[in-house]
Amino acid sequence: MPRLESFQLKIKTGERPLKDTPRYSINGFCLEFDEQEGGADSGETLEVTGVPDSFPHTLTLCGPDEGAWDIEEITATYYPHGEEPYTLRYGAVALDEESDLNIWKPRPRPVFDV
Amino acid sequence: MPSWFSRVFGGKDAAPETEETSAAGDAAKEQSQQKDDDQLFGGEYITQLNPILDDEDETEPWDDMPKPRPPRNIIEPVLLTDDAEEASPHAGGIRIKAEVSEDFNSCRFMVDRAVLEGLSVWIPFPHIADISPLAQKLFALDGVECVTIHGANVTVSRDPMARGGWDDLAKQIGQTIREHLDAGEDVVTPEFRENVPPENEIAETLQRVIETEINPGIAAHSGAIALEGVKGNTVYIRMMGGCQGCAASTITLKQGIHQAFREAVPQIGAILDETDHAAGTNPYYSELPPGMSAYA
Repeated sequence: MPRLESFQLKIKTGERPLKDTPRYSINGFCLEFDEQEGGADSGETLEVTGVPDSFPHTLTLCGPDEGAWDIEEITATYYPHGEEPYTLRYGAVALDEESDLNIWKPRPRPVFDV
Repeated sequence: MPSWFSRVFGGKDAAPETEETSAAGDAAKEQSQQKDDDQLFGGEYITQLNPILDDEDETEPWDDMPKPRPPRNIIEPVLLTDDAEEASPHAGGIRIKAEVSEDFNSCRFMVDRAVLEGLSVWIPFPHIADISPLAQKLFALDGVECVTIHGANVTVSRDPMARGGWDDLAKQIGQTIREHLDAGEDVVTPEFRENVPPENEIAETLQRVIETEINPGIAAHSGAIALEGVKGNTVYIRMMGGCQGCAASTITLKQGIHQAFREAVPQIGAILDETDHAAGTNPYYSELPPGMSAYA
């Protein structure tokens, strides 16, 4: 498992906006993002950067403390230590006060035709 | 001399107790004992030496550090892929994609149609490959060590000491699978199909193995295994508790669980781990036991 220096999320919000401060959780510890641009109102795109500089056994995007948050799509770019960054896209999901979203995926293995 | 020492070992400080002296001296004794204990174990004596600890509001330096939050349900996202896919080099024919494992020891070949329906087969040695004509052809290729066929997937392991990439061997394997399927030959023999026990019989045997051998063994690590189901001779399991998300779960699965299952029912094919090691409310490392600090 590589050390994750930082990661960037571009989150497009759907119908129900996020009313709280966006946060992420690494290995069970909830933290605020180090950088934040844009907004999480309906139709807006929020760009956030987390700098955990740690080994993520679990990495999640925290759901709101109250209400729900509709996410249309997330583009996640990961910057592992000593390796090239890689980008993944996640589909639509709805988070609420009882749920978090797993945003930790290792680099996809290459697939080739034989 | 500390009061506890006097009480335990006696001596000049420990005056013989009478009813009168014990009633009158209780308060003084308690005060003296507290003072002696403070000197031994901290308290005033220590706080005199270290003024940081003599804080009236009793805050600790680590109070500002983040605390683990109560676990929530973790949702697994849908991974989106690019719609524009490259054209197959075998246009109109059977398309096979290869994916090399992280340790480079095995390669999964994903065929665009079912290779073996209803059953799966696991062949770890060439001398037992006669149950599968396709596996026999694959073992004839240089470097092939183990073959698993399940649904539309054929997974091939090679010699762990082999060097170099999979490119050449993967192309040969792909070509062999394609030719075998094009010819319409059997993937497993009819005898193998007949010898597979019924699903409920396999499930009962494996459940007994889980309860009597596996779970007692991994209970020390707060882990547990559950049998999710048996389809044909394919086994679906789920790892729980401390096993979920544990970095050693793959070793536990392959060296412990697989071996115990296959000894109990030799005819079982693929064993698939249905655990989502990142999700759930109690994956490995997500929550610390009550009272334990992450910074201890």
